[in-house]
Amino acid sequence: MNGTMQGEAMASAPRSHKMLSLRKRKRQEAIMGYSFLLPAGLLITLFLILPFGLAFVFGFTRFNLLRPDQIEFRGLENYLFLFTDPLFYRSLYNTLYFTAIVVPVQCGLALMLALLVNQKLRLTNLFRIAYFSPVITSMTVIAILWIYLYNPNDGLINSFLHALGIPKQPFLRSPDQAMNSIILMSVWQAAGYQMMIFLAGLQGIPKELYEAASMDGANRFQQLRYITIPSLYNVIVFVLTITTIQAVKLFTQPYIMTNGGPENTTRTLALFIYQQGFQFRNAGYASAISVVFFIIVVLLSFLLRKLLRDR
Amino acid sequence: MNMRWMKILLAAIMAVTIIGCSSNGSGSSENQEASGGTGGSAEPVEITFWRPQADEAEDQFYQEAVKAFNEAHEGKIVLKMETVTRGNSFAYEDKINAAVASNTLPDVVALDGPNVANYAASGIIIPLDEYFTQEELDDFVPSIIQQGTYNGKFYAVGLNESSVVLFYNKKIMDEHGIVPPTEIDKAWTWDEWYDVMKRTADPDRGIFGTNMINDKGEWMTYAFEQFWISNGTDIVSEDGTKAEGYVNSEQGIEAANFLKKLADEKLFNIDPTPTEFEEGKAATKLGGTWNITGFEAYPDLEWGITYFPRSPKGQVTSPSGSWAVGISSNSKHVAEAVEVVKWLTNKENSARLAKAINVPASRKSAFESIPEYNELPMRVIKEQVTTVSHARPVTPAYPVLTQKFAEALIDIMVGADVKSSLDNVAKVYDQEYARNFAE
Amino acid sequence: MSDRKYAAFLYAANAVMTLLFITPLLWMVVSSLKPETHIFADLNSIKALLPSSVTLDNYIKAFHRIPMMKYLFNSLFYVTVICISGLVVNSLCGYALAKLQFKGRDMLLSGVIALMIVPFESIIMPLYFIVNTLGWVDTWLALIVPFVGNCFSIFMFRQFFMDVPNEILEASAIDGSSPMKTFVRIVVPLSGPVFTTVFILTFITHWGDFLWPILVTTGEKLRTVQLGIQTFFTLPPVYYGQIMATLTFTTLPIVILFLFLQRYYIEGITHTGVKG
Repeated sequence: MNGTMQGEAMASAPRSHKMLSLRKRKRQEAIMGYSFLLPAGLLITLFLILPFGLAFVFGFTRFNLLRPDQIEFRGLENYLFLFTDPLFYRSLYNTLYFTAIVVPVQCGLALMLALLVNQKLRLTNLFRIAYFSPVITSMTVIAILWIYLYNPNDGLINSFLHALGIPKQPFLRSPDQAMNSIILMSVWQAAGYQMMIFLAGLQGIPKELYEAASMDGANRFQQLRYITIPSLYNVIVFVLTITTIQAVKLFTQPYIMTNGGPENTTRTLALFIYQQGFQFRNAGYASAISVVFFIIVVLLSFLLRKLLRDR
Repeated sequence: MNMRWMKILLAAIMAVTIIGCSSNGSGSSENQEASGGTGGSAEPVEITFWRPQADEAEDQFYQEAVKAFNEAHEGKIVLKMETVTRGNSFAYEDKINAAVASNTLPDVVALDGPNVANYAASGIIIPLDEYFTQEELDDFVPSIIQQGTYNGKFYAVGLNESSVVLFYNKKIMDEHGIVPPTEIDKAWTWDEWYDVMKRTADPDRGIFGTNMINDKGEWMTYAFEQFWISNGTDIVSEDGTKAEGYVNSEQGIEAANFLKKLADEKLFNIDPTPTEFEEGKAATKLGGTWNITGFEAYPDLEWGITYFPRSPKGQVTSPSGSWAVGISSNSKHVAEAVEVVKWLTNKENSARLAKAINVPASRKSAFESIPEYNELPMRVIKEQVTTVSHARPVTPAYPVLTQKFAEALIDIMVGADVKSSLDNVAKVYDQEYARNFAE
Repeated sequence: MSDRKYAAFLYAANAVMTLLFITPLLWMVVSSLKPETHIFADLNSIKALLPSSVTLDNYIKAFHRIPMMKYLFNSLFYVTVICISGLVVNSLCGYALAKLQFKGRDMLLSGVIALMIVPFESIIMPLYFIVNTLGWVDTWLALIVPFVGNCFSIFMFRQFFMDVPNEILEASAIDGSSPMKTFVRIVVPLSGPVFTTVFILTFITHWGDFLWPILVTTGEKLRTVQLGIQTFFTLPPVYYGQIMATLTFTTLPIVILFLFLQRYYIEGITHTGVKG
């Protein structure tokens, strides 16, 4: 498999080293590997895998959050109910829609911003901070601000549209616009985050590559196409992956701005889980949704990896 | 490989469940030891009390009440209050849920009126009937008893009452020669109110006919269920088992259609700025008594109060309900906890709290010490609270009801189909009730 | 395009984007300096973004209402501890997954990737059970320890360490350095940008924590800034001027922190050859 092939490649280099036999070295390295993993592994087992395992067990039970002592084993009941629950399908659709739009748009914008600020301009630092400022303002704060910006009557955005002669829009109050409004705000809020990662990647591309290219007469677009993008390939894969993962977890924005409405057009799976588990206190049902959600997300990540590998 | 991981995972789950159980067990035995130790009278009993954080005036009231309690019970009881941040509508409830899950509830817990049934059905608060005489109970306004009672037992004592009235902008009313009613039997009907809104709304000057908060929280059910009641129905059956035929009944649809009409004709602003009425941009405002404090920052605003509008075919009614205090089933010192509950809701404190935060008192006797309530405009509030107000439905599935009802109303106001939205509320509620609460 | 034209284009593009990105925050700052009654009255015109009758009243009242400095300290403390201990723990793990050979490595990596996607909302309840079992409720431990080990950070470190050339590591190993020594002496100094990036990203993630602190901190003692802000949204009357003042004030420390790290971040990238 992949790992063993890499291992052989690695092992081939220090073969000349005489102090330690290959075998002993390998064993020592494995021990070091495990001990490097240990602290993080323990913490993650205890505070992520274990609670998730508990959620998995709870998925087969029915209990009121207020009465964990009255837990009843119910087999597949929750799952059977889930697959007949129209809200589940609605939430799934909304989550996928949000992800499908936000991932390319946000990553594209972030790459563009990173390119804009990867230059030796006088005000570069100021621009970077401007793009990053929504990221460092917490989402709770941002969502509250944008409720007022999106106000259908006298919000700042509508005032601006009005000045341009465009009729006022209902935004969050319209089933057709609510999700797109949340998408716009989310892209605005988080693009700076991906920009930082792209920027780190851009800074790592050796200047000599560009110098060589411009001596060969490549224009700026060709440099972007043939040097920047290919050099960033790993970073792009990484950014797409984490953005997808963040996007499918969409929660805070609809929670604060729309609470899933109007007409359930902004209800996402995470919001659905929260509402069932905490508000309605159906802890068993909420756990079952969490498990299905997790499976969907895993499938999505595999799909993404496959798509990116095929390229 | 996979099998091995499954085994490890399962083993880990088992381990934590066992640890969890045993530690919970030892936790409660510790508590018992502590309570055994207090039998000797040397140590005062410590009573813990949780309540959600509120505004400055209310917080201050509780601090003073707790201080006075501790002075009066020096050497016997120490009351420790913890103020829980209540950032969103559910943060306090989330914390209660978590505490229930881990058996760490305080002795005395504040809870919102409509949660009484759910908490009582889950057995996390205990009935208080044996600690209150009939005479004591009779002094509370009827809606306080109604909201605190579940399955015939009394569980939680209201700290104050609340009411929603129709505020009006005097200048705008005078401009149009409108005189709002000052007698409860002359309260505006929906049609009369609609007529007032039609006349006063002035889009050119940015003035709306009315202002009603359309938040995504409890307000929707709190305020708008009354439209159903006034029209001769309710949003669930009286015993709380069924919503079908109630929330989506003929009368219910009529009530929803009335609200939809106001939204369609843009007689109110679906997304009002928080200070719309205060700035003179709304002729009337369906609002709570707590709004009065905010009016004071606007000296130009001349306001009056009239009754909650009623259905042309039905009775006058008004919202009610408020936070109450109950005693948790985790409490090891029930007698002392009762002492605390009675102290917090006694006549003096009821009156003091009512005055501090501009809300109606929960006790009839407390009204006597607040003369403002005998004169207009505050008389309107007193009349509503003591005669016509209705508590929200008492049902253990209330969380689902209020959430789905609020969602449906907002959808209707922004254009969704009335019948199918209400049908969905009925369907989801009945399903939930059958799944989790039917015998 | 000539260099000068290109620079002009960059300035113009940056200026437009900057305007789009800071307007909402500008509104926040400007509103915090206005008297309460002006905030929403100005909302429907450009006046919303212009200061009028500037006053610090909102700040004074907000500070009078809650001990903001204490909450600020609490937040800075627990978030910083999560970040720093997270850097140590997760970078080691990421390095092992990137550069060390041992059995089961690929499977563990897939595990890390899979666990990155577990939404916090779905484990919050069982997590509370566990933290409570450990007796950590209302202690710093509850706020910090569950978030130190972080799959996202591990994956991030792993991705960046993958690009460290093997030759450097092998050279160090031939000199007799243990993997630990190689990591500390060779890899860490090369990886300033990764550490800074992970620090910043972890910091902003936890700076916004809300639901978890509400569950595990019960008293004033550990109250965080985010919970402090929410104080202003509780029962009416809600003063939006004070909210804006608090939001502005609590955003400030992160802006400063970012400014500071930003410089280090650029300085840290003087080496070449790590990428590409």
